[in-house]
Amino acid sequence: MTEFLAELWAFMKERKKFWLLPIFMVLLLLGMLIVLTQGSAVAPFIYTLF
Amino acid sequence: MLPGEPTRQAAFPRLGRLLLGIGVFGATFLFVGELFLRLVFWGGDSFSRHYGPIVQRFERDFKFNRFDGPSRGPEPPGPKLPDSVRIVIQGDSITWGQGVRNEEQLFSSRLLTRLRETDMPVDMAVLARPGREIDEHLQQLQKWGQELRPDVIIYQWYINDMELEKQDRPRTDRIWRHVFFHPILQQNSYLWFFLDFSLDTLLPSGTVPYESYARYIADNFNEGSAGWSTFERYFSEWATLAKELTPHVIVALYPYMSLKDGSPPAIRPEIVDIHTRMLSLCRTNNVLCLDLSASLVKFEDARAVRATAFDDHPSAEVHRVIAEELSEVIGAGMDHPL
Repeated sequence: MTEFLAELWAFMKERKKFWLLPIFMVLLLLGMLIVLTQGSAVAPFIYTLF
Repeated sequence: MLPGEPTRQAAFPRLGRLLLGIGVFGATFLFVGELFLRLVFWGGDSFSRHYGPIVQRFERDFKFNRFDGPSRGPEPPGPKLPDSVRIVIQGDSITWGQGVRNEEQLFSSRLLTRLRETDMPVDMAVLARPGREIDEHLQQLQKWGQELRPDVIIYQWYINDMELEKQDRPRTDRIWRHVFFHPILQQNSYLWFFLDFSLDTLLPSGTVPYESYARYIADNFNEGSAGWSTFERYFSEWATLAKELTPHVIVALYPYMSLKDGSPPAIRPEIVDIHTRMLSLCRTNNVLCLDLSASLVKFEDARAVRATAFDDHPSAEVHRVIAEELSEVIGAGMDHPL
């Protein structure tokens, strides 16, 4: 994983494609959040209003 | 040329480029994030809350019946026929079917289908809405009871039905929720809604006075507490009215369970005492109590119990089990008094 990230960084640096950085970052962040938050609802069935 | 001027000239473009870079980075981040989530949650999804664009997308095609709410589930086709059995179901988000996309999969719809398969002439009215507590169930029965003239009343109970006062309810206070644009983005942006949900789920909170919702319930609704006494009073009033309408009154207790992926669901130990008291309260009020715990702990994996990956409401499969249990009770009760 570290190797992949290093290669990705080297690619962006070499080709000057730094605009790819936010795309990779947001995809990585949201992917992690989707995995981490699955099955971890904080409070069950609590609603104040419809 | 004044001393220092070339340095300023060089610094400004660099600063401009930096600001432009940050702007482009931020805009790309937000745009791609929003797009990504709109693709991932193309059909929407159910979360443990009742607002936000992803949830609204999920519930876009829900149909509502004519009762207050909007309530979801079967409704009688017309006036009650003399030889037919009319079932009225009262409940909250569980009966309403939070997280269940197809209305045919709700336990109310399944129960109606099952009973009709036995040639029982039956129709049904569902009075269910997320967040409804015992006082509202009583009001609903007062409002619709005489008009509907039910032969069977089913009340789906869950622990939050006791929470008539909610000021002590544990809630998190997140700093980003104080910004003025939070309500607008939370209703319209997939990215903001999902980040709000995720961070609220994952980040610890120092403002919640209880270690869990179950602990809060156990502490605030122990025997003799004001909360439990108020609930008891309302429940007795509801049971008295229900028994005036029909001798066949069923309370279906839906347990508060701990749902861990890969493990069977487990009843939260904090609420066992409340369940025991509910069974006793039903006996005192001469209504039948159906404890669903035994059926639900038979699931091998909690994932099968959960409506969606982000919502602990009962799945369509759990609705099937509830319908089966109720069908057996009603089938037996129509031959003999419940």
